[in-house]
Amino acid sequence: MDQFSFAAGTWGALALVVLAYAIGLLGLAVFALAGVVLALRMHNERKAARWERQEQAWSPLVLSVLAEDLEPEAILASVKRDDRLMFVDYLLRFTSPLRGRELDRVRALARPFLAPIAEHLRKGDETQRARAVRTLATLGFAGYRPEVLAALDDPAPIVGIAAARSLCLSGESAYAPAILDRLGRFEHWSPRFLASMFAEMGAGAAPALRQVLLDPARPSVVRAIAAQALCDLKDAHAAGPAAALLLEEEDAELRVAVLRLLGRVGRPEALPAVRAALRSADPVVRAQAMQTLGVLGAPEDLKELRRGFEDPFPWVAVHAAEGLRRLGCRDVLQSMVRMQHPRANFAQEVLDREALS
Amino acid sequence: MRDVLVAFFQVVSLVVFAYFLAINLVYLVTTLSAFPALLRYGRRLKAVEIRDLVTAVGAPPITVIAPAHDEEATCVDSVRALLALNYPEYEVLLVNDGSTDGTLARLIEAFALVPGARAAVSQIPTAAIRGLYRSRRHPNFLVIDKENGGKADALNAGLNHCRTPFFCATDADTLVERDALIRIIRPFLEDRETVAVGGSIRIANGCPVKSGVVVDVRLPKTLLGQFQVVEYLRSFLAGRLGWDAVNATLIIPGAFGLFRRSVVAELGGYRVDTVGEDMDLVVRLHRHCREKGIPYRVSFIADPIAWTECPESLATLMRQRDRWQRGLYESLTGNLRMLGNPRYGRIGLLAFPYQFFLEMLGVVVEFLGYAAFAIASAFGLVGYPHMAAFLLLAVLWGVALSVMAVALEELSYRRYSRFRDLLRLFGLAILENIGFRQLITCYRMKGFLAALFRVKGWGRMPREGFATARAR
Repeated sequence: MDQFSFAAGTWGALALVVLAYAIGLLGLAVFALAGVVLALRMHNERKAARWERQEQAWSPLVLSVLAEDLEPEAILASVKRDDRLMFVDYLLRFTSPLRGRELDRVRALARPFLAPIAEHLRKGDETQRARAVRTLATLGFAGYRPEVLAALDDPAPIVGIAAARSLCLSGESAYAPAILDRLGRFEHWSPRFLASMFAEMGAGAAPALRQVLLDPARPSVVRAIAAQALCDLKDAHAAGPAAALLLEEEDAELRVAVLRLLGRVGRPEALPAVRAALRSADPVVRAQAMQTLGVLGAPEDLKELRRGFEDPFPWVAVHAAEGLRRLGCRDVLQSMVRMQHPRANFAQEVLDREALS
Repeated sequence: MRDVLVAFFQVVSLVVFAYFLAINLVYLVTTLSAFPALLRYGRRLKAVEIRDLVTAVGAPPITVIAPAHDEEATCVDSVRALLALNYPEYEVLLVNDGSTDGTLARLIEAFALVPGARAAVSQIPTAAIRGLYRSRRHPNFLVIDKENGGKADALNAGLNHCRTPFFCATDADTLVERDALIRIIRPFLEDRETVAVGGSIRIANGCPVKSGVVVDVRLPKTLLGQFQVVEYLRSFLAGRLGWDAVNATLIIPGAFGLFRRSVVAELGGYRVDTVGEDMDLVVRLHRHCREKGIPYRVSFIADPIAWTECPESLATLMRQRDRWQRGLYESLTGNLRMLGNPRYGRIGLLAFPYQFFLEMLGVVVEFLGYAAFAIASAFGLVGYPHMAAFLLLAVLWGVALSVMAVALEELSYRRYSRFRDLLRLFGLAILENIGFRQLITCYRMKGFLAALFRVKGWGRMPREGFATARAR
């Protein structure tokens, strides 16, 4: 036996044939794939060149429409049937810096071409539906409100969130209750991000948000999102009820959001509730309470702020130091540094930052 | 004697063949999974406009932690790039890890640094902190100057001083693209259970850089650098994307990843006794969350991009791959209880065994295969037509995988916009299988043996600096 047994005899010959076929097929596949990639590159380059040409042709016309030198109807004829979706896409990119009358004129340009986009809402996959919602809400909200509102209940959460976000961006606070009722669908999204959507809706959303915040039947996470949104909106009317809520509620996430809200809009009347939160077993609640105390606190809170330096959770000390600075207790901070308090660094940091600013 | 040799080589050839089949099957599956995943992701990006997130107050603050050790050639450009990122609220924390060159002096001069204080909010043990500097020009730029303790130690020092819910681990020799933070935060916004996300690393050699930004994507000048471009495309677009498609991401590059600070601090930060601290952290994240029953997700997405210099000399390449292999060994052997353990889900049953048997031990099999082939040839034991056909098939298979990676790039990002670069990538996909791959196997084998015999240390990786790239 001179060689490996698999390389000898009939089996060896068979193996060789199989290998040869495999090599041939794989070689062909590699060449075919490389060919496809090259063809794809050429196709993409042609497409990009076509885009560029079209945009160069449309840009002066759209700018003339914006400058009111041309009426929107005047350039509609220049958009070929096959280029309509491309034109809408181009307009969509055009809209982000626009407001008021200019935005209305761009919307007038898009209006005749939106019907096929609305079709995507019925026939497209989830990403096409989400994109269609965004396009319709940005360029044709007035004509497609029911479609955008209905998309809140689309089985795909990404379509739902696109609809919620578009409705928030519309600034029409009447839609806030409908979105709040469906927040549970978006439970995976970051609560901070969801809260920021309502903030973009404007102060008109505040009554609905307050109602949700005070409704014990709602899930705590939804109430926490409402509290955060009210904080972003700086809703002063929420301060009183929020302070009362802080004394009643036990959910840490909700308490932190309410404390943040009080830090933004609270009044001294909220201080007893904030001080009570300083005794929480949850370190994150204590840290947020200390931060809020630092904003709202009065000179009589000096003792609490100093005690914050001893808290085992360092974030409490971070906020205590900042609170002392806000209360103007620079001397207390300086003495901590001088006496080489174990957390003198926290005091030094605040003093340094103040000196730099 | 001859019969014994033949029997031995038969066993070896069967093991090598089984390894060849197994690893290539995994590569094929991950590459094929990457195609739909990439297309789906591209469509998703179009569905929720990324610019919406830039303006949203909901984008959470991030600290970018960049350890630097003897990086005077690149640190100023890198920090400039980091300070020019397009993100609503972020801080750059550079940790000077006991540099012996002029890194700190260059930073002090370039960014008008003055001594300051920043209290630590976590107590992960690190080498002594010598000082902290704030920039007069950039309120969001801080430098921690510390005794040398290694990259993991520097990251831990940064983590101790990080004040934001998320931190981005990068290197001071890495150029993070302007919108990379906005892109990499997306998975955290879309899924609150996300604890870590990795981004893509691309090779900056040969690319002109202006103010810390890669302004034109070109291939490196050297063949060694060019091979690594293909290798990175295969690794990031085909490999990691494929693993992410089955929700089994086990590696997040040390040069660019975003983490939830609280979870990493709870874990005790990075392990300092390994050179593979990046992989080790992700393995321990999986382990921690599974053992504590914490719902979590670790993801990889390809569109946030950071650019780095790759080694263009054999000696540096050898040190890098040696270190990577040791890191792999240390991360896996340090968490052996996860191997094949259903308690750890897909990680324990799929990703970990793949890394352990095919990537860590596989290198030994591959090396043995080459060695056995050489010895068998010397003794005249090889059936040449069969062996040649098998080798040709192996090379073609490697070419096919690389071509698929290039196809993924073309389908998605098309960063190499010149037609001749695309053609060159195809040429490289063929050439890298003849010589380069075998060389890498040798370097990895060296790393494996070093890990086995507990050799420590990073090995020096000299940097030419991005300015050199500009000069070219």
